[in-house]
Amino acid sequence: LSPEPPGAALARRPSGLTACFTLKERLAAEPEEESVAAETADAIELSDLHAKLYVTESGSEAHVWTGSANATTAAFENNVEFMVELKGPRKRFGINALMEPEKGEVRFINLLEPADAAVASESPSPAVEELERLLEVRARISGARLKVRVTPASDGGFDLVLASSGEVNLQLGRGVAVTCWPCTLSSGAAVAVRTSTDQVLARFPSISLAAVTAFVAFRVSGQAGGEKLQIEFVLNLPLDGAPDGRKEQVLRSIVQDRSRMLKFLWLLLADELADLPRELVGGGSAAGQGAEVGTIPAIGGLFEMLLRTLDRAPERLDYLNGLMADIRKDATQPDLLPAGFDDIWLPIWRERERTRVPRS
Amino acid sequence: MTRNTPETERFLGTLKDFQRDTVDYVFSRMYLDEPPSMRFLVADEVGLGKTKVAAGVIARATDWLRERHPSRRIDVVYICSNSAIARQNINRLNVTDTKSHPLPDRITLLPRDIGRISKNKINFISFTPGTSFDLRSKGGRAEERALLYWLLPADWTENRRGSLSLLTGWKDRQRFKEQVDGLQSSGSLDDGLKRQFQAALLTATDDSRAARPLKDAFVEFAAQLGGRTDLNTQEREKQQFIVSTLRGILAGVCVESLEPDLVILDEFQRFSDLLHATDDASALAQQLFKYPGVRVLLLSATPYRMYTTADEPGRDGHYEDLIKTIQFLQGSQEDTTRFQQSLAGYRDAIFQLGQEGNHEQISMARDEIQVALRRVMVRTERLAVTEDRSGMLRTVPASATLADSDLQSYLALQRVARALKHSDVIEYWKSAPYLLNFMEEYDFKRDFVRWATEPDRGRELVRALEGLQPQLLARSEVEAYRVVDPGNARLRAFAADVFGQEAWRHLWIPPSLPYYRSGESQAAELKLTKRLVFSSWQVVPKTIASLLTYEAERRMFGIGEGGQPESNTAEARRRRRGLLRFAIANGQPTAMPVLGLLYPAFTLAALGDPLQFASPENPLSRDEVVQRLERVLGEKLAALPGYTSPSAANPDERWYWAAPLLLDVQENEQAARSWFEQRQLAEKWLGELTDFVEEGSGPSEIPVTSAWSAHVEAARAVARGGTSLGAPPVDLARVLALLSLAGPGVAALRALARVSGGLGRSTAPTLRNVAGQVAEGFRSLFNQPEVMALIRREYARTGDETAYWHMTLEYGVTNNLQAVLDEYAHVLVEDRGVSGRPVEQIEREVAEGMQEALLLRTSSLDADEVAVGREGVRIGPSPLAFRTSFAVRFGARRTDEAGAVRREGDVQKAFNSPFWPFVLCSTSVGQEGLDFHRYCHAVVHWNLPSNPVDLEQREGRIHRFKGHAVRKNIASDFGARLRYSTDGVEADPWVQMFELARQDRQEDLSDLVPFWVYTTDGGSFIERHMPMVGLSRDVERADRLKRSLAVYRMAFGQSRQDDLVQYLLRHLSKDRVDQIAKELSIDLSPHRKTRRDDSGRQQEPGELVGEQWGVEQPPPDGLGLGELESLLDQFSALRPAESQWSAALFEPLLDEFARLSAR
Repeated sequence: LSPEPPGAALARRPSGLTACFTLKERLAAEPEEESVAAETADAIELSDLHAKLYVTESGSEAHVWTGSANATTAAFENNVEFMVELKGPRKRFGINALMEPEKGEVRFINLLEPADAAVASESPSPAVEELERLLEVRARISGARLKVRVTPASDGGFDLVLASSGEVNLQLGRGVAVTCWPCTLSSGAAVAVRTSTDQVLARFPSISLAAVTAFVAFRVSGQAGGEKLQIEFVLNLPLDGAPDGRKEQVLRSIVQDRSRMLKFLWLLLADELADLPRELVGGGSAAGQGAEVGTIPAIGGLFEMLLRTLDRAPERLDYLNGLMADIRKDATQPDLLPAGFDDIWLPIWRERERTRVPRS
Repeated sequence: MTRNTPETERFLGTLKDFQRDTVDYVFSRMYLDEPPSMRFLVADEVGLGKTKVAAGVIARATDWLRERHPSRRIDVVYICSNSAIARQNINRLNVTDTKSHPLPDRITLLPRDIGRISKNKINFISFTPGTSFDLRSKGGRAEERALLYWLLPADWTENRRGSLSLLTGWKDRQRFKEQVDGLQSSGSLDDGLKRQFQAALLTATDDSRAARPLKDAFVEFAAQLGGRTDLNTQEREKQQFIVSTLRGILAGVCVESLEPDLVILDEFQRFSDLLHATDDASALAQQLFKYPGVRVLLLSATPYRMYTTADEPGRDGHYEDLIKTIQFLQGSQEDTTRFQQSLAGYRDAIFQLGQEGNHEQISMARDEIQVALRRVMVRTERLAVTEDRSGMLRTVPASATLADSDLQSYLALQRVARALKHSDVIEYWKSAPYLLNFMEEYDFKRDFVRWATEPDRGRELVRALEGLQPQLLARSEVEAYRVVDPGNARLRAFAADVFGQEAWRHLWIPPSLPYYRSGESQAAELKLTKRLVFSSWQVVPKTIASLLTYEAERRMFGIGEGGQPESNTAEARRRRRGLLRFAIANGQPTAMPVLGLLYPAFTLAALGDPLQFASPENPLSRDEVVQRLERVLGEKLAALPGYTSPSAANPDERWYWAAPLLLDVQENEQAARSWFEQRQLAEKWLGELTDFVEEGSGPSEIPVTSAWSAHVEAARAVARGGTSLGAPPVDLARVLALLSLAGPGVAALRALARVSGGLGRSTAPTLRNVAGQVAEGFRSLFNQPEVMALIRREYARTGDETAYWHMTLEYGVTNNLQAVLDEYAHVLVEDRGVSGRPVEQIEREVAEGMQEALLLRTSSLDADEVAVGREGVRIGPSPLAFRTSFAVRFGARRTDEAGAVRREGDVQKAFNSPFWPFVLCSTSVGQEGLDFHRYCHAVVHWNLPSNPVDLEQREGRIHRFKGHAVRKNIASDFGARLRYSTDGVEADPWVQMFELARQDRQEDLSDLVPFWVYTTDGGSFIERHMPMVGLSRDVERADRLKRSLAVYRMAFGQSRQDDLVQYLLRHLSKDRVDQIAKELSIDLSPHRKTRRDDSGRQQEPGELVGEQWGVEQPPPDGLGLGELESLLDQFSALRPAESQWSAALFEPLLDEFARLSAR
């Protein structure tokens, strides 16, 4: 997605915030200040500054962090971030010291201007307005309770239809267009979404079984000041009339060898990203994340994962059991399960069966 | 150059070649080189004999000092962390011709002994840091405080009553007073020290008011106390302060009075703070290290942590430890800085492994480090540069199988955990069964017990425990010896392994060299070895020890296999009294044949020695051996006066025990009679045993000692002659054959004689006495209820009236008792450090060792009974007591209590014997320093350590000098070349075989082969067992651990070693890793030998061979984009309700795939 301009984000300011500021576009050096910056340039460009600054206080101490971390869950819990922590007395580095203006000093507050003021003082740019319109369209599409309907086609393939269950009015407005395509196909297969009252929004005739999917990608595009703007997103929609054997077919295309089978098992069982073996998740950086040379594929921990599933979500094992059956049905498949799998699976499955007590 | 005295030469002659090399190298570095190294570290791997090396260095240093300063006294100070070890080693260290006298193990007791010290020519003084240096907040022993009383100036203690109270400490006041008085009467405290102490007191001050003299505080406090010893907390603190201050001052004065020439710090890493820190304790110790001219010798197998991983606390432990140690050794900041630079250079070079021209750089960096280290340290490793330790190590595949009930217990435990608000129990559950019964100090258990007693919560637990019944031990089942399911996959695999070999049928590990064929399964039986189990969980040793012993007993009783139904209660055990017991009925001794078992008969020992038949080429069978001996003995019997032809109808059964005595009288009347005429023969024969009333016999018994005396008198009467016997039984010759092969008295006599000087010794009365004592140990063994059940089931055929004592003989013959004892005697000579000592000492010590192992008391472990009722859960009321004998727990003690320590020592000795226990379960405590290799070459890693060094440490416990696997392999290769000899050292077949093996080994190898490492085709190995469920995390951890073993040494001297190891594993293939690891190893062995590579080319150690060090790319990994989408699809099918969440899960995956597809 394209980054939203600050104004758009602030328009939906989360509750609990007491004040919002944004960086001044340009910081004019105070005339009486003999700073290094003033010697080299009259003003400092701040508009592209990407650094973050966090300030907390505890007792008489203040901590100031700056670095790469955004104020997001990903940054605080998953990502590898780089931050510098500065510690000092609250009097000099606390929130008030940074945020209260002081005559004769350049403080952090002097780099900022109130965000509301920024919005108010400048009339919104045409691009921002257009983007807001596109986002509204996205919200309407997501809320439209769409589904995917599958019907056999005459040539042995399938017709895929994006349908709504009732009347839909996407209120596209002038110059806004929506296209969509099944995730299994490339965006070249995109067709325009029709916004008439007809319940069929898009049709993909005669696609292969493997391409039948519940995931549909959308692109909403518009125009502002001669510039093209667009947003893309994917929806996971209910799938009606999925042909028999589709799952098996898809499965077979995924699960072609033992290591893929293992990965698949992992994905089915994992509750959290952290449960997955490192080599499976891959990680973000390019350097040094490969598996150790010659290590066995990710089988360690599968046992524990199965146990946990038995304890917490035993119904998932039912699916797994069906999956095993499917895989074994196909005699042409090589043995996809790791050696010794049955030794752990069978007792676990028996226990699942034993404890499947229909509760009255 | 200095010349060694004959004593020194004699001692050096007993060392293995590399030990001697080390002694010479260390000595020349510390005394001959210019400038000498004042401090030096011997860092040989555990089990290579560092103490012997230290003894050799002391001997050479003593000679050197004497030559230069003939009249000076020499003080050797030995410091180690544990006073028991100190006492043991101080004797081993002195191999000079001058006797050392026992000296205090606490420095503050010196005033009592200093007089003696200044008179001696050489002093060996041992201290432990905890009791001699670190005196803060410690009151010391009463003995020390009593001494303080007399050292204080008279004007301090004018108030005698109060002063005594002040110094009493926690001891009983009256007893303390007696101790004080006793010390006065015993006399001489050193006046010089006293004066110095009192002078030092003048400047001592109180804690509360800095300017106030300590004396005022003392006097005032003494007045305040008067006769009181019930001090309140504040007063206790005051007392503590005064006493510890006084002790500190005294310790300082005492240290100054020493004139140390050589300070030995044994396993110094346990108190390494003393070397560096600046507190009072360290300052005190450092006075010793800084004494003019003193040399400091450090001993430690692990002078610094070898390897630290990222998740260990103190991440850079390795680097810091190493640098600190090197700094102490080098004593020059400049040198240490240079050393640190070399390490940095080495790291740089390793990270550039793939680059052209890097060979030279890396080997230069390695050489720099090596040269710097060799100036201050030496280290011999057991050829350990490769992961398999030169072929001795094998991983034994062991897969733990799950039973359905295991999963039920898992689910129930999870429910309990949720009720108790505890997190996942998977790791507990994987480690041990019956957790709620066996757990002790776990939060999980504590909370469980607390909840169980609260009504509402109790009901919640009942619900949670539904279905757990099979995982709770029921008293009724246990007391009826019902089968108890292992209840845990690992334990199931382990029990199958142990019982699959029918270990429970064996009262001792079969000999490595059997002298004759016996039984169908002999070859399989030879594979039997003990198991050393390591776990990091406290509950595991307890559980394994309890349940395995239980199962072994159950099988011995033959429950469910036609054995008598037995009940497993203390009472039932008491009822099963030993069948080999001495009693008197109608005024007559009842068990004379048992006396026959215990009789050390020298004629039988000489005639019936089964070793003469040992010839693995074409071994005789057990029955052939018995028949041959029957013939020989039949002839001897016929020559006895009073011998008539045997009678089947009305035999005189006294012959069974009388014949051995009569044969001895016939053979050597003087020797036989003089032994019998010893005063207090009854006591001498069975030793000073106060406890040979076996467990199970009640106090109502006639004192066993007097019954025994009556038996001895009856035997003496026969030996004196004049008793006429009736017709001998028809099987007399056969019984004598059995007695001569496996009569405990005869077998012990022979085994002891072989290691002390040959069978000629077997008429010596002292030897015969101690042999009798060993035999008594066997009587106690054969009297165990389960042992009686086992032997009677195996040897009693229906209608057969064979007596139990006879059956024990059959058992002994079948199980090669003589070969077992011969091997054990050889082992014990090494174990007790008596090689080359006077014969009587060897015999006494070896016999004592055998006896201690045979008499190990069974100890009990308590499990909680957990009963689930409708309304709640009940714990107790009384514990379920599990005996532990077949398998025992080790290292779980939390106290330093003397009893617990002794028990640990006894357990270790018994495990190092062929007798039970066969399984020793240790928490990680056993990893450091202790030997377990005598009869064990299999380690079981119940839980895996995270650090590869720990894995090595564990396996190092059983891979040591003349270990079980080595002996088996030696016997298999050299048994056939044995010559039967009855005299001298050659009488010991093991001395012969090891000598043959030494002569046979490749020329360029050191004595590590064959004594530490010896392999043969189809032979035995150090077995590494890792029972674990397939596809579990443990499998992966094990794999990772094994791989990092190969490379961690390359990370020597580096900070963040973990990262370096991961880097290497990622960039190098397995073969390359092995190759480079070998080439880059840092060689600190005392002298370099040239080695040959495969092509025969001479190769210097450390020289780099091989063409190119390419860096391999990791294979591309990951799914394609299209597959991911299909995966998402699958997800929606499986968990539509959770699609929100699955999207969150896949967001990072999507990013990753986008990146992949962009490439």
